[in-house]
Amino acid sequence: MPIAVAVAAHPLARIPKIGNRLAKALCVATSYITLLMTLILACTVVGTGPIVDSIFNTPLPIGNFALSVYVDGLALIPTILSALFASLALTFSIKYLSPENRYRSVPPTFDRAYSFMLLFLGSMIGACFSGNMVALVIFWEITALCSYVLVAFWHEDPVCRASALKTLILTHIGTLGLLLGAIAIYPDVGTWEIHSWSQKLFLQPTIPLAMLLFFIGILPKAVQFPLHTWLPDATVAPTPVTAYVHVVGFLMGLYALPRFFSQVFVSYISTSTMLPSQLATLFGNVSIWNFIISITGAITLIIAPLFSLIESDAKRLIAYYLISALGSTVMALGFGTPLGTVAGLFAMVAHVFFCGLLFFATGATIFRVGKTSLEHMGGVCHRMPVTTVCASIGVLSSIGFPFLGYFTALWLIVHAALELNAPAFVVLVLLGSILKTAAILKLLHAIVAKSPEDGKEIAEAPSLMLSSMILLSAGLFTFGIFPQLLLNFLILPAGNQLGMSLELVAPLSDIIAASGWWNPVWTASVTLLSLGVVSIVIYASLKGAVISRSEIYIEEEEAFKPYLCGEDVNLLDRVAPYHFYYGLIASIKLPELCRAINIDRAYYGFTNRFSKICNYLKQRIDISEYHTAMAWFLVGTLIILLIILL
Amino acid sequence: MPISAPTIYEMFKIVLLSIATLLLIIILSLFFEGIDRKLHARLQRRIGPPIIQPFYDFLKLLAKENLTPMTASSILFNAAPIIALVCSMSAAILVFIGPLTQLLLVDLLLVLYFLAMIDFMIIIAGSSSGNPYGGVGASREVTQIIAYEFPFIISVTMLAMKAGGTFSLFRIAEAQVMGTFTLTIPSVILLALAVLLCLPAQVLAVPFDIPEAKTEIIHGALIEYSGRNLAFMRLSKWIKKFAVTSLTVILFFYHPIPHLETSWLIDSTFLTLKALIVMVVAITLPRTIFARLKIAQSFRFYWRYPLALSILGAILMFLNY
Repeated sequence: MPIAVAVAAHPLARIPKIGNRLAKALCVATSYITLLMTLILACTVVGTGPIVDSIFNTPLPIGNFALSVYVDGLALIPTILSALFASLALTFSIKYLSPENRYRSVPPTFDRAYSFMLLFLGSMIGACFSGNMVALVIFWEITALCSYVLVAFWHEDPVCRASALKTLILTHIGTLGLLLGAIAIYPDVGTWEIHSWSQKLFLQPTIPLAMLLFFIGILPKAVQFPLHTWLPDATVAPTPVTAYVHVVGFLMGLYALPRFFSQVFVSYISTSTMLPSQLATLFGNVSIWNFIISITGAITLIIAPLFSLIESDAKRLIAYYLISALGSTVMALGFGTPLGTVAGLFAMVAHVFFCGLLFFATGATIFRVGKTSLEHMGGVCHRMPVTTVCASIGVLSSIGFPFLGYFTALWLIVHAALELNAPAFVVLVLLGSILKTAAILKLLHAIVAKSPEDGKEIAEAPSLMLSSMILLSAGLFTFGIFPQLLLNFLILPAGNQLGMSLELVAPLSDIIAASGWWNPVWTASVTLLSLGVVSIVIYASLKGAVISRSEIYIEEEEAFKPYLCGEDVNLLDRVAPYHFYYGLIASIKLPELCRAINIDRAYYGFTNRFSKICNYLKQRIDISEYHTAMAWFLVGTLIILLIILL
Repeated sequence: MPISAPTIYEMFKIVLLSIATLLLIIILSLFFEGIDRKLHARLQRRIGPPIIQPFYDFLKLLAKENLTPMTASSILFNAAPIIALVCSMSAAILVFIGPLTQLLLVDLLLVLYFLAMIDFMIIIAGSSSGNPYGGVGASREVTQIIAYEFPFIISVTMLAMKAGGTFSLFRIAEAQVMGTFTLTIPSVILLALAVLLCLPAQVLAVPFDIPEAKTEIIHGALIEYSGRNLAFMRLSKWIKKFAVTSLTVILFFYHPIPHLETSWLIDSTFLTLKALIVMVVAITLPRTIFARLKIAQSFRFYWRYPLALSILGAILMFLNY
């Protein structure tokens, strides 16, 4: 089993004494082998149905604990993707984590990034494949710890430590939620096996509480609204590590969402109250639980790009972009309909490809330029042509160019919303994608458009980095033009094994929903036809035009900076965060708006209060006022007991 | 109504149709631009250029030298016009044959994305030109897109809901012929007004040509283009003008003369004529009457009047008016 392979890799990978190169090679090879094994496993599962097995049966006082394995299509999608992405990220980091790195040079020895990325992969696979709630929580916890260690990669830097701590705390709220939810529901079902829960759940009063706790547990890993703020801060890690933690972290959240809310609790959700009719005209005929999930996604979708519009750090910008894209996915998964689930799963695959591509391209630029701020990047087009092309493909895909993967996901999401008669969700998806586009075009402008600051020699990124990027771009093209490959092989079987039957792909590879169909192949042929006409015109004009001229006057001549109706154009020279979209930012008062919706301020306020209380208690003890301190201790214990009892 | 997928033979027929349509569209959009210019001049009591002037412009530009400035990011700078042109052609083909045949349920979302790609390509062109005017143009274009897309998307989505929750152009046109919704309904009138107000900004016509203000920032994003690239950018803008007006006709004005599934020739003739009227009313007249706004004024305008109209239309639609 892949778990065994991945977990067994760690002790092997921890033997750095043999030689650093060997250990690195071993880690990379292990990730590729894992990918291969998951792919083989996928063929079996899609062919024959879910695999159920159990190992390590141990009777425990809290119930029989067995590390039962449950592999179905839904679990396979994140597993394959994370194995794929782990291989690419490890390949990328061989060059990135080297002394050549201009941002921060790393000694060439084997370091913990490799082994912890593998450990992350192993526990990720474990969490997805385990059919047991306890095992799931344990694996989930291991991934949270791994991300803590990975974010604190440059642990000498206090900023890195602080953001690692933030990651740890916020992801642990999630784990706590999952654990409490499982504890709350255990008396009713009497087993830890997730897949036998759905038969034993009726209308017990504890279910809503457990569902709420599960939802809170999923929030930080799926990076949704109140608990999303760790992700932008976690970008202080090295780029491949950041990319890996981000991409694989959200895969877990997105895996757990349909697992619990479309499979385990589905019978309860279907009997729960529907939205009142006034809201139902706007948000469609969904139950109140689906509405809560979808509206959380929609809020995230709208507010995250607002932050990225005024962001000046390249990786933070992509992180906010990623959060927003995840918002639309969570929204689609929250619908609970077959089409919505399929749309969410497809969007998940597309995200891994284009977000990975964006991260890698930015990482390659940082590697060469040595700065992460948008103000100091730029002008890499001539020096790094392949990176530029890959970055452009990533940007085009993420703004929804119709043949680059993400458009199909958007199409499916919009049609899932249409199927529900939910105009508000359609509008929100489209508006969110426009805001996202504005943000990501700023990134392209900053990286590509202007000239670099100093005369550093910038060369093309190393070929190992390029290979990762080119592979992801090729993937985007393939799934963009032939989405039916992905749909037929992975996503529709996964939906079927969740108990959702859906006819989506017709013989001639049209994707058909109730409200329309689209055929990427046919549309691509129309576009190719147009391209043919255009190239004929180009060919004809090449003959007619004067295209060569002798080497004459090449003088450095700069355009005068225009003065334009009160807009300060000098600010455009460097992409200063607050000034690139000055018209927009001034019109909707973006900084004030972002300050108002920044949930981090609430967290900081809360933690400050909390530390003040703790300091106060410490002082009481210091000056021997034990009674007050004891009283406070009792109050705290009582509160915790109350929470547990409830 | 169940949707059946077309067979290979039907697919082949559609591809043939789109080849014919493509040539027709290029000619028609050049003529549209010519009529627009001529009418604009006549309204200002000038004689104006001949109607086939855009043909001359296009051919002349093709024969000119194609320059790439040293400060530009050459890959993106040269790719942007081609992608823009291809996207505009695809969008126009889809719009034009959308309501013609039931075989091809052209998706509105696809058309909207193709149309938006032209704007995005203009932005990329501006930012890759390495010229401060280009940067200003790109920045303004983004601001303006965010301004007008909000009311536009709300109106179009509401209309699609009214037509029975479908995003297929044929079904929307069919709903108008069947009488599911017509222009006599108050909410539809409001939505149509909002979309008409968005048209000048979609095609960067004068009150809202802020991103490429000729006299101020010298065509903004297009400043460094010359020769073939400029020809492509211009042509894609003209085709976009044609596609957007036709799309508006299909969405809102299909009803008064129902001409669905009569004959393709009559159908497309009516579509073109109506699109011409829409262009004159929504683009040529405002561009003659008004002067250019500032970017903040345009933003405020779009977030005030069209947005209010579209939201009011949506509310009325929920109240079944």
